Amino acid sequence: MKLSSFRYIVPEAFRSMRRNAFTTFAAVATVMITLFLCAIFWLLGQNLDANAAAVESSVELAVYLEKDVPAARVAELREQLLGLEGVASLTFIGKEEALERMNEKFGSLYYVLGDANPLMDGFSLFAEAPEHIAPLAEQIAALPDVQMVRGNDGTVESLFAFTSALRKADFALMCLLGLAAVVLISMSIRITVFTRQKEVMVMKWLGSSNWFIRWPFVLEGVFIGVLGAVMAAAACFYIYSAVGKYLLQNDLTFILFLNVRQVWLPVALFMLGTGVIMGCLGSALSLRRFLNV
Amino acid sequence: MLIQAFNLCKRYENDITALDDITLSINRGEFVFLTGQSGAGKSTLIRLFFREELPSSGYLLISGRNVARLSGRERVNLRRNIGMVFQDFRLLERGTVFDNVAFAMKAVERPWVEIKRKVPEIVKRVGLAGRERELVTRLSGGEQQRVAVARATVNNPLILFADEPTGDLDPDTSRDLMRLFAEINAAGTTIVMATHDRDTVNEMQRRVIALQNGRVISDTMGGWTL
Repeated sequence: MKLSSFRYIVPEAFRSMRRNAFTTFAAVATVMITLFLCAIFWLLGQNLDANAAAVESSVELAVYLEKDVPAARVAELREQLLGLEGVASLTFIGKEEALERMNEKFGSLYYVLGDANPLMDGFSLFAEAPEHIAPLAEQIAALPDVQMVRGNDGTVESLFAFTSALRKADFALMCLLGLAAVVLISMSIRITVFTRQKEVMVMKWLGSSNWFIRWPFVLEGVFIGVLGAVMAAAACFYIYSAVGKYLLQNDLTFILFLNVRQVWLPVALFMLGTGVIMGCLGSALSLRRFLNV
Repeated sequence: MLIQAFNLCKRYENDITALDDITLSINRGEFVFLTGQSGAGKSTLIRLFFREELPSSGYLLISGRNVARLSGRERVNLRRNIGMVFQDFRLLERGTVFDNVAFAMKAVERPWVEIKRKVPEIVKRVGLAGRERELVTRLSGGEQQRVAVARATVNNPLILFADEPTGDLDPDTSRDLMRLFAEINAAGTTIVMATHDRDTVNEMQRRVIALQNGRVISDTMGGWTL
């Protein structure tokens, strides 16, 4: 088949889509919903992963002291902590400063707490590397006058377990919805094949090559897939950006939210690729069974 | 020899024998009528000629090639050298005269420049000059058949098969169409036409192969022989 023949083939594919507007619309909508949901799940998983990784790579420990530890003992503890292996730096945070920080992060707590300050004095400790965190936490917790030590205990594992489950759910959903999309694309093309049966017959008599006859149907499937993918990508990134803006405006910056520029390319390529594959599969299904050329 | 058939038989699953031991040959440039009553086997023979169906036994050679053994590409090439005209025209109803004729050139992947140049020429040749933009559904039966002839001949086929092309036309229109066929034949295209129109055959005075119950009962020059 000649490459220049696409001049006739491409418009024919668009004409078919226009003639069967309703089934084309249904197929495009199914592809769009499938890819949109998959991409949302994917982005959610990526953000959870990023948050888990941020927690995992954290080298900070919060050391809380018992109530009313005398200043001399605090100084002694400070020396003890600095003497431990793997400690990079240590900052004392008095309970007033801790309350101030909390007010900054979550808004004023005056209406809840009044003049009371239930917080404790403590240290903010930075380790030299993440692998020092667990042994340091264990050693510090055993020291007298230390009430508790907080690090990334268990959070990372739970986050990773959650994202792994999310990925599995995403895959199952994609398989189910993807199957529905492929069936709908194939139905849309089957209708086109039936409406164009007479034309196909005449083309055969006239000496069209098999691929010249098949290409418009293949392209129709691919166009449906691409159109669904582009619409899904547009909707997905619009919503993703809106969520990012909302988090920023509402000062929820303690949640690590990946910038759209960091994530758009692989997600968009995935959507486009999957759209094209679904389109091709839908076409192949119809052509193999219903277009005998 | 352009077409050679040796002991051609066509039997269908329900034990109906449509063609029985047909042996004939047609030279390049001939104008041949296949005549006979309905069910005599004319249309089946035409379908075998353009390889819409395969013979149950026997051989059919076109330009020396056994049509039953053609590869996909060879089949495409065979059909590119054949034009087909049907009783019911089989035009694209939503298209104009231009669309229908251009469709034949697009189907064999001719360049657009050539299509734009050649379609008006062929439309003029079949007597429809200036009517390229008209929808075919607005044309009379005779005019629609002219469009079908234009479509069948625009790619300069070696052979033109016509299956009852005058079946739905009035006598005057049939006569015009036969004049057109004679012109096409004079330009070098071999024409094989199935018909049961006695007047047309008698007027043309060409080679007549008569079929009855799937067998050739006569092969003569001149008029109707049944």
